[in-house]
Amino acid sequence: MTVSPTEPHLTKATRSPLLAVAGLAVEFEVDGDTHPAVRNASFELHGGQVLALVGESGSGKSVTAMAALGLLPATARVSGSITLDGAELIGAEPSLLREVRGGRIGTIFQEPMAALNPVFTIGDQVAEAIRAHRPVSRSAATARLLELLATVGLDDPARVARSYPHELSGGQLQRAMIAMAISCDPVLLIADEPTTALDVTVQAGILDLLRDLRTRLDMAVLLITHDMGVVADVADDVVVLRDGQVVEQAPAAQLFAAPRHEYTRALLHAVPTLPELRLAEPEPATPPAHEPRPLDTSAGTTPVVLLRNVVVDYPGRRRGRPVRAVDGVSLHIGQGELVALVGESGSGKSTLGRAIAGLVPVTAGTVTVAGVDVGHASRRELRTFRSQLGIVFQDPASSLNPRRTAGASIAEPLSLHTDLRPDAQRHRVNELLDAVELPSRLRGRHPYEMSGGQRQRVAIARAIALNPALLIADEPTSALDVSVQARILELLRSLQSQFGFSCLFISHDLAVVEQLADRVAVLHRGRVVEEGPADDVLRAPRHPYTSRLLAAAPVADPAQQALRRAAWRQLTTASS
Amino acid sequence: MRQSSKGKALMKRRSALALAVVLALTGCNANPDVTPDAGGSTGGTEKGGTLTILNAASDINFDPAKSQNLAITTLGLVLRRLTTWEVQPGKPAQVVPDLATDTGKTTDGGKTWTFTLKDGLKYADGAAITAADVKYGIERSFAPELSGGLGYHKSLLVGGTEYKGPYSGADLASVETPDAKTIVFHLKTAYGDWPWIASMPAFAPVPKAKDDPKKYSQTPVASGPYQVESYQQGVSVKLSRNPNWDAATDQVRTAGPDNVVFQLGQDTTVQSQRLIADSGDDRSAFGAGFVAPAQLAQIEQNASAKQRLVTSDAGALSYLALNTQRGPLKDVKVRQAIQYAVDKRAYQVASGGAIGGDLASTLITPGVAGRVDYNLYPADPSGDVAKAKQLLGEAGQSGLKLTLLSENDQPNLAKSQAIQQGLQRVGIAVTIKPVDEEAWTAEVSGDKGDYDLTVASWQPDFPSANGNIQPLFASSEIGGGGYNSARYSQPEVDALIEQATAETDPAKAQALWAQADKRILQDAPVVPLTYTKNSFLHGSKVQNFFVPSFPAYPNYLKVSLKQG
Amino acid sequence: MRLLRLVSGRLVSMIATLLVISLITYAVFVLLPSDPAQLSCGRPCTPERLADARAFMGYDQPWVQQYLAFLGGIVTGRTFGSGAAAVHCAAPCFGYSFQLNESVTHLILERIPVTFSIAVGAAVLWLIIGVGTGVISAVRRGTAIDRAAMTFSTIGVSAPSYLVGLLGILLFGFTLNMVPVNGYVPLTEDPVGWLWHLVLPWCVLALISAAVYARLTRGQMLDVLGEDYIRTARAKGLRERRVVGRHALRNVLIPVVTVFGIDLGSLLGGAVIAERVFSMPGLGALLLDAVGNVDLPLIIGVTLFSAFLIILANFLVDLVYGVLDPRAAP
Repeated sequence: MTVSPTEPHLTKATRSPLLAVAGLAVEFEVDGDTHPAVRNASFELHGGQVLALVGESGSGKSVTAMAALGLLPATARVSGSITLDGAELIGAEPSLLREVRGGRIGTIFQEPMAALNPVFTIGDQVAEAIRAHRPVSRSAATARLLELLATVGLDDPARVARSYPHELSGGQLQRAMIAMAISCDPVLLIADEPTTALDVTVQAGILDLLRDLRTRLDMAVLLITHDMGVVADVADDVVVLRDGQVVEQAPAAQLFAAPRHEYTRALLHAVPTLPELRLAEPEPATPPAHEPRPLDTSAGTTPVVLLRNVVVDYPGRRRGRPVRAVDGVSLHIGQGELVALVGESGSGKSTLGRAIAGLVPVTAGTVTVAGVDVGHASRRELRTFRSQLGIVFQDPASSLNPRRTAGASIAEPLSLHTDLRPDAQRHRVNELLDAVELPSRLRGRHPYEMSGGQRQRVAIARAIALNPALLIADEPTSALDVSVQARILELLRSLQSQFGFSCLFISHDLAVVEQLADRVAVLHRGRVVEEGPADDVLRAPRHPYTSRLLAAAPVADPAQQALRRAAWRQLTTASS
Repeated sequence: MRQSSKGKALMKRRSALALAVVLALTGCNANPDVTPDAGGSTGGTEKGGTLTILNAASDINFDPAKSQNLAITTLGLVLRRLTTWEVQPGKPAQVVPDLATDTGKTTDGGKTWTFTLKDGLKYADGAAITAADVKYGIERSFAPELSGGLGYHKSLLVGGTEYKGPYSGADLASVETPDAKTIVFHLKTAYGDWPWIASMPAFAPVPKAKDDPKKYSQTPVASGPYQVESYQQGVSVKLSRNPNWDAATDQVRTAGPDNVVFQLGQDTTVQSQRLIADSGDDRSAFGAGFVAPAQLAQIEQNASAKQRLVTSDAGALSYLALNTQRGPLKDVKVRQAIQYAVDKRAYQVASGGAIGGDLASTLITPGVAGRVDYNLYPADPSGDVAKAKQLLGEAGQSGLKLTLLSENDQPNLAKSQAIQQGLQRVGIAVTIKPVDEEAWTAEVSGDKGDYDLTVASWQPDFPSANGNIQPLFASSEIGGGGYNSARYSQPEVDALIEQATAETDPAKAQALWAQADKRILQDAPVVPLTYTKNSFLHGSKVQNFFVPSFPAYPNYLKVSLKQG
Repeated sequence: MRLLRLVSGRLVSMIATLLVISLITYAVFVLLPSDPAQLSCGRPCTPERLADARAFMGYDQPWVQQYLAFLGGIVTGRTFGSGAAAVHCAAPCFGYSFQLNESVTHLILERIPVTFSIAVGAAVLWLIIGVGTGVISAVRRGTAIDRAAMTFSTIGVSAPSYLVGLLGILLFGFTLNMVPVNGYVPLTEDPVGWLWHLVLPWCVLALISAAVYARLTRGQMLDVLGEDYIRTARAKGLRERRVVGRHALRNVLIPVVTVFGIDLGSLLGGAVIAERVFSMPGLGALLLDAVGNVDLPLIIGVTLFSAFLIILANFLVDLVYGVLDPRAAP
């Protein structure tokens, strides 16, 4: 076998491949039509290596992995070959497949809360995985599971084992999932978007664990991800999939340094980047967290949004004590300003967004939007206020009425707040569709007839239909592929300069924020820990939490990511 | 018999039956004759076997003070009274001696009645039946604790209105027992039908020592041919022979079967299916309720079942009551106009056609002694529209608007609509006001009487013309729980009723009642519609099963089983 | 301890609910036009006799007082009338049926074994058949088995139970002569006869309800089989039987148990149709008769008892729910 030096090739090992995918094709049959999901995909994975399968949604990366496990639905037709240590898996006997699943191949999935059965304890589920493959006693299985839980870095394994999924955090659950996946010393771990649902700091921990386990257990990893940062962080080799086809495969360093295929380049280009991390020495003069910087007087205009010591409590469950979601936040957004609210899940950022929109009652403090005191406004004032406000949510599939066409959805605020005649309304809808760069023929489509990006554009068009003074965008791109995300962000930016609305942009993604925001406020446990111009905050964070957050965010550059990783480790060990 | 809830339930079921027959038979326009054996199956009485009686009710109350049973049904098998009814196919019911040697003697024109007990009468436990026991049985029927039975005697006996029963220690002086065999009744006024009254359940003997008012409804002391062997509320009641009953002293009970079992709480549809199937023990069974509606058509198709279906002769009266105290209905001309305006044929069809009943023209019903057939308002069965209009014209009435109070169920509404359509033809607009059964009873027997018309039916509690006339037309029966639904008050009629009631010579009394019948209809307070018929089904081994016109129920006392 | 507090807390709210229901029931029936004294007055009914009957039954008092007397009777028992014929209704006295000469409590207790025999047997049957069919249908989705089961269950769901009962009697009772068509034999007297008499009612009730449960289970199962944790279970290398029977079924049972509890609770309050068709003297038949005879004390008593059973069933469902679904645990 000769390999031309010009051909891209994966990292070579002297051994034969552990997992060899050759000429794999998967088709789904839906109502008589066949939809190809994977076409003629071939790649190899050697023992102890990490191979990343990269692609956007619908690229066939997960289908490929599920084909290896024989877990595709009955509607799938699979051809080609997948061998594990030379044994053919496609069309294999159920008994062989069962032995492979969980025995030789461990698997972890994207959403650990959904991937674990809610009605059984963690210990129960892990022990079940052990006993499915090893004839061990109950007590031996228990001993093993406690050992495993400790191995994946869970404190107090006994308590975790006794817990049900809803009693643990996402990070803990994903660690438990990993414990379950490695319980039978698999030779291969399939990690299907293992960190996508997790916060960056948690993600960094999980990726660290994966890396560590790979070396300790000499286990190969098939990593399925859409996140180039994650790829840069852990992968040895990369296979890029698009529409079910392998467009490029190369060692990670090579791929990032010199992407050969146009699509790979586009993909990498679309990834928002973070500036190089410059961690300042912790400044003794760091301003206290709860005290915001003084108002930027240079703007000279009255702010569109003004928050003063806003507190939001949620009533606790079963007469418990109330939960404080937002704890004394003061913030302002000037005319035409885009302020990003950054934080991890549970930081209170979405609650704060809802409080500003008047959707959640404020426990204390004042929220003023366009001169209206939201907490004490009259009915009429609230109505005016609502017409001054546009909101875009994370998932357009659930925020758009599935029974309404795009046109009807966009026209809804027009009929509620204006007395435009039908033809004028239609004209305005066309204008808006044009503004969000959608062809006007889409006005008659229902949400299910549109792509995720198109749906989000419709949602944005609806949000700006009334020329709002303020647009609140709550994780508007988190559910979208990177290339789509880039275009939506671009759209938001151009709309903002065109219409001049102020914008509160809520996100967990620092790179996205960096691209877009004028100012950034970092929210941690309900408090603003750092606030300032985006460049300052993201380049030279003053607060340790911001530093950790920044360091944890992976970037699509293996060399830089290695530095970040080192920095993150230093920060976490320093803080613990 | 409107008041008994159980009786009413039976009436309702029959109505439902009628409707189903209309549905089943109107298409072929046939006159269904489902009575192959007009008198039922009769013949000599064979002894032995276990007779099963299928009952929809879940409970049988054997306490004579609380029972409203007819003399010829359940209670009659266990309890004898001073007198009882002789009911034979094709003959009017007669009052005959039971415990007494005769049907009572009066020496003062009907105010004092004396009965003498037969010799050698014994209870099931061997104790002798005494006149004091009969007196005690009557006394306890006055106790509020035991109210609910037939209480015609209560307001007739001297001191009856004030008497509250024996449990507080007092006795009723107007019932005398000069010796163990003789019992004397002192009435407030002369009452010629007292021999009938003496056939009521309360005139059954109750030995004071065995009286536990709370238990007596399940453990009565038997004087008839059967005693209660076991009683399971909701399930069954088993009767076995009373060894101390002497057939020689009893002229009406033939006591054929060795045992009688009442199966309680039986769904009427299932009852009919079992009897149609006629297998096993069901061959020796009959249904106590009317044949369920949907089954009549099925029976029609089944030669065997058809033979075992027995339809009564025309019996109880159904009628349209005209509230004589309301507006235009106060005018006799208007009421007479309605006599002609009503479409009796349509009403008959709405109540099931010919099997549901025959057209009526008198108040005294067939099967009651002394009935005279006549028709004061002769017309085509569909009415005489021209005559009705003429009478309305004479009364100076046009564009009449009347309300018709109807029970709110399909059969009753169908009947009310038949009336409504008939009256429409002569320009009387009838509004039907549907109300629940309870509300209907309250309205009709209450003091307000806020209705113009209503359809009702009536079967007397004892087969005397008195029972046909007095409860419905005496002015004392208006409101206050009475059933004078036409609110008819005519001094002349009240006088006639009083006279006939007091008359002790049956022949003379009957003539007076017939006179009252005609006199009342001259005033047209009601429109007689039909004499209703009931159908019953029995198993193939059941003999001597017949349904007279009065009462239109099987005579339990004579039913026997074919042996071998 | 937490469970104890939960139970006691729920007990208080159960009693409060029952009090409200009893008050409403009482008010509704007392305000109805029918007069129970009139019904017990006999014929002919003179105003004096009516007044006597009313006083004896306690209906001569204002209804609020009647209601309080009713509540008092539950605690202390009641006595109606006086002297030798006085009727005593021992505590807990939920009223006295003057038509049946029996305390309502006694009547209900007497009927409970019948209804419970019917209801529990049928419920067990339909749960097994319904859930089993639903699971098989879902697992074999789109196959002939699935289609047959769903067609069958559509018929079952839409068939009136009275009709199915009658057809059952006609076919198995009369035509095939396999089982008795009616009646009830106490378990303590004749276990075989008990079983033999109940087979048909059980089957009829089970058939109808199993159809509902099959559809419910199938739908839930299809949803659950699409869940991520099922994929996880398969990826662990579990046998399909274990994936479906343990991981999926346990989650499917959560909603099924809720519905089941309420269904069983209301069936225990009287399997009206089955009792009627099969002539079983259960609570349903008792209530039906009571309504037919306008036996108010009995109607109120049985209604209250049925309400109690449903509330109890709700409570038990909540407890079981806590066991089945750790997320709902108190």
